[in-house]
Amino acid sequence: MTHVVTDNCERCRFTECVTVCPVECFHGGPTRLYIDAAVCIDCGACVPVCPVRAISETFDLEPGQERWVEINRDFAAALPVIRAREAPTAGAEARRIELGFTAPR
Amino acid sequence: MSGVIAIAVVGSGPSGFYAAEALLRSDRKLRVDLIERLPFPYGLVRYGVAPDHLKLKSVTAVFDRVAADPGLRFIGGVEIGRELSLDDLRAHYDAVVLACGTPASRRLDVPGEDLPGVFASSAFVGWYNGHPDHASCSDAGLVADTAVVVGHGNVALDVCRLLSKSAESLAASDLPEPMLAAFAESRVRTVHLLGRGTPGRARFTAKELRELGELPGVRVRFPQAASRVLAALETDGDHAALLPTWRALAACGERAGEREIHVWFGVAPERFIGDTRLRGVRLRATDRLFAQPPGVHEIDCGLAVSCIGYRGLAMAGVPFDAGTGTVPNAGGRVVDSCGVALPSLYVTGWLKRGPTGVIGTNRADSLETIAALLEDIAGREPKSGDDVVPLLEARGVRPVTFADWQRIDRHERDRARATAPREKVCSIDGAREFLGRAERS
Repeated sequence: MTHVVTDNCERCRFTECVTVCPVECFHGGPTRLYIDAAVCIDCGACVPVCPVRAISETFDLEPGQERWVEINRDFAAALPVIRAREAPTAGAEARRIELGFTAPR
Repeated sequence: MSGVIAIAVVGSGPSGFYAAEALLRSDRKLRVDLIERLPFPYGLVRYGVAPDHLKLKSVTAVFDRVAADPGLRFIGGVEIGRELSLDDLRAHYDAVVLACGTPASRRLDVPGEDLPGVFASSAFVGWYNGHPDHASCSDAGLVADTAVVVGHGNVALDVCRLLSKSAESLAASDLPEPMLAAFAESRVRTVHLLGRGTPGRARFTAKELRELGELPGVRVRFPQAASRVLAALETDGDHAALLPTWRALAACGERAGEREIHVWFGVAPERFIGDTRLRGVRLRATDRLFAQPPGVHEIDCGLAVSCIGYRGLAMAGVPFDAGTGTVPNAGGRVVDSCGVALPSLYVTGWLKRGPTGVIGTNRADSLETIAALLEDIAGREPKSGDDVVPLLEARGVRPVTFADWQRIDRHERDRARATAPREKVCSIDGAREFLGRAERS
């Protein structure tokens, strides 16, 4: 079992998660983040702080979502660690609303 | 040591290490002394995280990287208020960050709370984790077949789980040998987990709650009827995340098990009963939904552990909110009763915000405190105070260095049983003796 970043992060990339990650297990591409499962200690601090609920324990993944395990592993290996909060993508607010998360934090 | 801003961080748990990390990563050239009361670093990672949650403990690798920064010095075995005063720190450092955590427990304030067999979580968790303040406890109350755990948070779940696990599965943890032996001989077979609120008010996290249902040979029961628990949850939209976990737990009540965990809602201890030691607890209803007809309920038990939260300890010269057990602050700047910030004094972690959140929560918290500190020292000349170590040595104190700790760490790993990562040194004297032997040989 581990934690993965799923679909909702795409085009949001709010990066709240990296401020609470105790082990710096988040890696980032231009439009989203991924978790390095080998580094993640499953503390769960990132789950509630994501404005679009993009992070999930693998245990809680819906059937058919298991692909995120592989995607996170492969992309985390190829991308740099994100240590500090960065500005979200330009369309993040629109995407948040589109995903049904309206209330700004 | 002159010419550089010097910061003292008091306490080497997660919030202390993350404060140090944030300081060392800043653009400002500075040095950090991480001052720790014990000869052992890592605070609640070593003494609070459950001994069977070994993956969480691997966060210490991050702290070790912080400790390896040449700008950081670990000064162990030094307590503020004993070996050094707050005034000493003020004289020697440009700023002080308090990251001392909340080592005391909230009290239930009910009769019988001081009977032998009744423990606060700090004492019981401290005992099984080998904390020097609590490890010498020779009577952990594991003599009767029934135990009561008070509180609906993750600490209570940890205690329930450890009381309910078999000796074989507990062996794969960093429980020290004497505590492992005590659990192996424990007669406890039934644990009552009491919470004063409704299921929706429980502060468990899903992962920890789920673990309860995965314990081999343990049956989880709801004495107030599982259907009522689920019905209460269905109407509590805020806690939908826990609903599948509660459902799974309710289902596991059907299976047989030689050990049982009874989960109660809407009840609190009214008094602990016993003459020379705990014999039972009388409950009172705290929520009408779960009120027990005919009103009064007693549980015979030989052990009670109250896990209802922690409090910080007041320090001389530092404002303290006795209600919350925390240090009043504005974004990490310690403030007096008028809300005015005290010069160069900061607070972070549980002592700042109270005992909530997980390890990573302290990282964001320490980032906030250190951002305030860095803002305040921007453009300020270093005080160039004297190094504190000669002062300590003049007082006959030899600080424990991080290299010393690494020697203790290797020793603990070398002597561990085959299934455990380490066998902790459980006393300050034990650590000092080991270091003395290591130095002579």
